[in-house]
Amino acid sequence: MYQKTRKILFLGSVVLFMFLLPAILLFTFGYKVDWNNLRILKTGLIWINSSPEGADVYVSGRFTNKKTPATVDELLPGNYTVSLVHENYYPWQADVSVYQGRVVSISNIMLFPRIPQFEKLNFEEAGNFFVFNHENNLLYYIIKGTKIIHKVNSDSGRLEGVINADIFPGEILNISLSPDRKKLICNDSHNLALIYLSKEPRKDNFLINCRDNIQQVFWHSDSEHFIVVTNRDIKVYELFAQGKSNVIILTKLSGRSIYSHYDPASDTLLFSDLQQASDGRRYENIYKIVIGSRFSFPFFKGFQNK
Amino acid sequence: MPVAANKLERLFETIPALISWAIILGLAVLAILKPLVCVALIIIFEIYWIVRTTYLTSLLILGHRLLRKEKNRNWLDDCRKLCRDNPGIDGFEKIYQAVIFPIYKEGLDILVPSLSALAEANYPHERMVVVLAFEERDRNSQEKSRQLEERFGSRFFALFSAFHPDGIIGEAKTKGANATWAAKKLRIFLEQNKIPDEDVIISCFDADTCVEKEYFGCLAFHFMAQEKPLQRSYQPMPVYNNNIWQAPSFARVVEITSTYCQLMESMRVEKFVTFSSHSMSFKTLVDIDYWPVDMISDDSVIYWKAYLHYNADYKVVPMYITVSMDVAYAKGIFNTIKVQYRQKRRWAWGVENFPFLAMGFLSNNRIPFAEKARKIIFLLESHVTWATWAIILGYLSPLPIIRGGFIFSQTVTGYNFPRISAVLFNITTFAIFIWIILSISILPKREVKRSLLKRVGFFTQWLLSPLIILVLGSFPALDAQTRLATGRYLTFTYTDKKR
Repeated sequence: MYQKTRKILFLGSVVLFMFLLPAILLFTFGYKVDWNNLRILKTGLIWINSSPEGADVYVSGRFTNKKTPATVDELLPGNYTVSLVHENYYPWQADVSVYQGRVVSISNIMLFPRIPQFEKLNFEEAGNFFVFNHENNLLYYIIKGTKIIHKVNSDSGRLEGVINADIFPGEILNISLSPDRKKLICNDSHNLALIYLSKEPRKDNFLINCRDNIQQVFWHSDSEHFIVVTNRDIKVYELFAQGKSNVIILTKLSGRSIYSHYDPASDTLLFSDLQQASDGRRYENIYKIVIGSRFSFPFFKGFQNK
Repeated sequence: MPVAANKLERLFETIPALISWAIILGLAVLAILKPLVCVALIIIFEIYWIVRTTYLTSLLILGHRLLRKEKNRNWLDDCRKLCRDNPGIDGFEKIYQAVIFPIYKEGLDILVPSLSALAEANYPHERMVVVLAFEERDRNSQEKSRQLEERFGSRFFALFSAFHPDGIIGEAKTKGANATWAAKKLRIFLEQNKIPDEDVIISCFDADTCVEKEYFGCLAFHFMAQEKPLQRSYQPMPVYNNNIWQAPSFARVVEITSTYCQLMESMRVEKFVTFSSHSMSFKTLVDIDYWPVDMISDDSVIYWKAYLHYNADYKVVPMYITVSMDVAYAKGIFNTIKVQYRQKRRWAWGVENFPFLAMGFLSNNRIPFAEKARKIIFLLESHVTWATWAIILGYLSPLPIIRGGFIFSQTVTGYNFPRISAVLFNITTFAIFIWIILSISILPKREVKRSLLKRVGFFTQWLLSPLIILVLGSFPALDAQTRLATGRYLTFTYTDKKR
């Protein structure tokens, strides 16, 4: 009896093999049987993915019964309109050309929600907010009309800290966090306050009044120096114990509004300025200065003349 | 052997390796030069493999059912009933069971349980003869013989030891040489006791073989139920339960798989060949001049010797009763892999049956050509498949994609090929899942109660299957075939047994 069953199983296996072999081979090589005309056609396929996944895939207006990421195979060569439809998202659509034996890969499709999900991060009415590269997921915002700064985790929405900057005389327009995350500089156009975030012995917050118009404030990577770019000069402040600071004027500037950029990775300052040449003409140049350890050998280099 | 015959035999020895290497290297070259052709061939192989796995798993389920059905059957009663119901069949009362245990370095910890299982067998002990076949070169053999004879001597009609001398001309250091020496001693004993050869069923067991209580009743029943009992070998199902719970999971999975292979093969009776511990008529053994004394795979060669002797009218009768042996393992996973690798290579050395059979066919004109072709092709196919399947599936199938690179992956074929392979692989995984379920009933109960973690571990051990397939799937067989082809013949190595 078992040998009879075995024979049936064997024959079944042979039939299965004979059936599967052509079907799988044709599919693998991208062929499709056109049963109406009894011919074999070579096809192409579209691979499509979206963010978020799970969008319904339509090809030339026909639902494919597939959701992204999806493979729409056995497509005859030609042009197709591919559409993605996802509930609560704007639909996406594009014209795609399919070639025989080829894969058209469409990825990096971003679907945008019809009703964006907003998350409120401030606890009080917010003024300006600041985000620092070295403070992952943390943002600082000034409570409007006050000198209180809130530190908030932008992922969890949790209040991580409250900083009191009441030393500052006016309205805080800008804040800069030191790379060591222990100090904060608040400034407006003429005042600059250094605030220690944690209480350190013999180190007190202090205020600097500036005659010139403060354009930008940058921290040096050592967190013990900061660079203040005004419309008249570039100064470097060196922090000392007991809250005092040393100041060095790196260079005088022409007095007109300048653009500056500081790269803390290389402690390099780039700035633009007008300079009068020997021919009497004024040229606008971009300069670079590497502010090394204690900037003992500041090195200027002109990049471009106009 | 004449020089020409010798050259011909050498030619036959190279054929399996040539075919296996041609398949492997051919596919590798095609993957580089013609990836599409390689893909087509690999897919054909994968489909063949899936269909074959499905078919064999179905056979495994059938074999498993038979094993469960015939478990705990009182075979002695069935023997008596068979004689009663069929007046033509007589002689149950005169059938002697002779057992030869070829022993080399196995200690008493291995031998005592094997002999105890014999002593507890449900068969008239006054018709049981046990021969302990020791190797004379084993210094402890005399002492082991003395202790075992003292302990078990009175439990059977006879129990005696034979000491196989070392260095007999024409012999190799093989189990077959030892068993043959013992069988000749047995023959002298039978003559002295006036017991005809045809009344004796001889079982040649590995030293660690523990028989089930009903084994000899089952054997006698099948022997008597055959129309040509002398032209049959009787093959029990080997399981490796003796030390299965002490063995690492890696070795356990390998040995359960070996049992399954045997169970599957047992369903294909026309292709079934003796393996490891087996039984046959003693008269047949004498007529075909005993086991080969210079070949390692004596357990399968004995079948082919009988097959040629009886001009293809010789079969193996599967018996759905188990004999339990030891899992081969060593301390640590790498040593276990090494031991398993060597054991599988020794099993794969059964490829030496191919030149033996081919030479046998050349000198036999009474077997029809179609039968010869069927047998030789099957033997060759099974060994070539063994040596190539895991390499094709595990190592060669990703090659067209790797070689084809980005451009190939942008084609429909390059895109569909990994998907199809993944689907086919998942079907194989489903087959493994069935194997896991079946393995529960084949394993012995654990003496110590297992914690939940260990029970979960038992199922997850099957996750090792892909690793086992990659390491032990084909390489031992390819190694054996290459050695045979290059004349670096394998010598018998003793597998250390641990409990």
